[in-house]
Amino acid sequence: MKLADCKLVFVAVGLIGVLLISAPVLGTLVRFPDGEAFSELYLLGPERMAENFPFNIATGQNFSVYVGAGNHMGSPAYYAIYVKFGGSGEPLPNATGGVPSPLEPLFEYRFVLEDGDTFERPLSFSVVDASFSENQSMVKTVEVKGVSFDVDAPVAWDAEQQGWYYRLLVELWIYNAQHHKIEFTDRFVYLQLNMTGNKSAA
Amino acid sequence: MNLKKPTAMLLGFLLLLLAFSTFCVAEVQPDSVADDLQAVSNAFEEAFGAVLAAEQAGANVTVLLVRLNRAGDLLASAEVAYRRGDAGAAAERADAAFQIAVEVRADAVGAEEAALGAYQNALWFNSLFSVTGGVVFVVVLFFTWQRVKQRHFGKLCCEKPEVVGQ
Repeated sequence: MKLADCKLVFVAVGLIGVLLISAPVLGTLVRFPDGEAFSELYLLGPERMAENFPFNIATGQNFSVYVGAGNHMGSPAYYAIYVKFGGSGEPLPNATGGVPSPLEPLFEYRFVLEDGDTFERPLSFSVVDASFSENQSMVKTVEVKGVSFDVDAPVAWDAEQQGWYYRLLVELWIYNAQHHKIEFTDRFVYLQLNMTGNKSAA
Repeated sequence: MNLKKPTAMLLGFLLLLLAFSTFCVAEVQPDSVADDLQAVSNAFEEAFGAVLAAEQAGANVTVLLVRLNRAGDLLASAEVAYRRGDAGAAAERADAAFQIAVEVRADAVGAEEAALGAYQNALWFNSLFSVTGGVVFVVVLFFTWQRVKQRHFGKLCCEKPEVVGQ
């Protein structure tokens, strides 16, 4: 082996060795680019599966689903979940425009999640009081997690789908540290519910 | 004995007392509850900000998050109670949430300071190790190279053909 080749080998070993020895310091100074940041929101049925969601409901019947959220923002995040109830005629949130539903929130959750963590809680609900006329249904009171709320939500008869349709809407909001307020994340899910009548009359 | 004047004075005094007491009764007013809820919400946000800063500084914030989530449950419960018109329950839960949020914020600030100190010490140690290790490595490599060169030239000298005079 020629001396010049030996010299090259020594230089290469020297550079590699210096890089390896300085790796601990480089690791703290060099930041790798973060992956895509997002939050997730989901509903599960009573068996914690994506099935057996309630659809046909009547007054006095209790239903239970699970609401969940996941943090993939790269750092801890502060979330709020708002549960809303209204007729199918009410506008849904505008996901592309970042506009939440105009319905008033009934129940809510507030929690902080570490990156990669998930939040999952049971969500029980029932229609306590509703009235029906020829062409209109009015849900007056709903109960969410044992708490009663006066909603007074009217809905006209849907001749096409043959029912009185309501929605149990769940929205995910996140705290924006720059704006110092909780903002809608464009994530929402809802249950389409067909109000079949009063349980006693059913 | 004429009791009309003292009786009237007593009645007047009682009426004044009654009027004054309506301002002093510790009744929870919805407007004050709304302000309380806003204050709790602000405190919660500040606590979250402090926890986030501590986490970014390298502190373990798992326990802080558990406590903060307890405050979050109370805050959400207070908001729900307020929405239903139960100002008393809303105020009680808001107060409990506020206490927890303030404590978490203070603990998070302390955790952040401790983590920053530990980080700086670790950075100094790593830098010292890297610089010292790098210098030692290069010096050892240099002397090794010198030995290799000497041996190489030594071999060349031994193999050098002798010039035999005629």
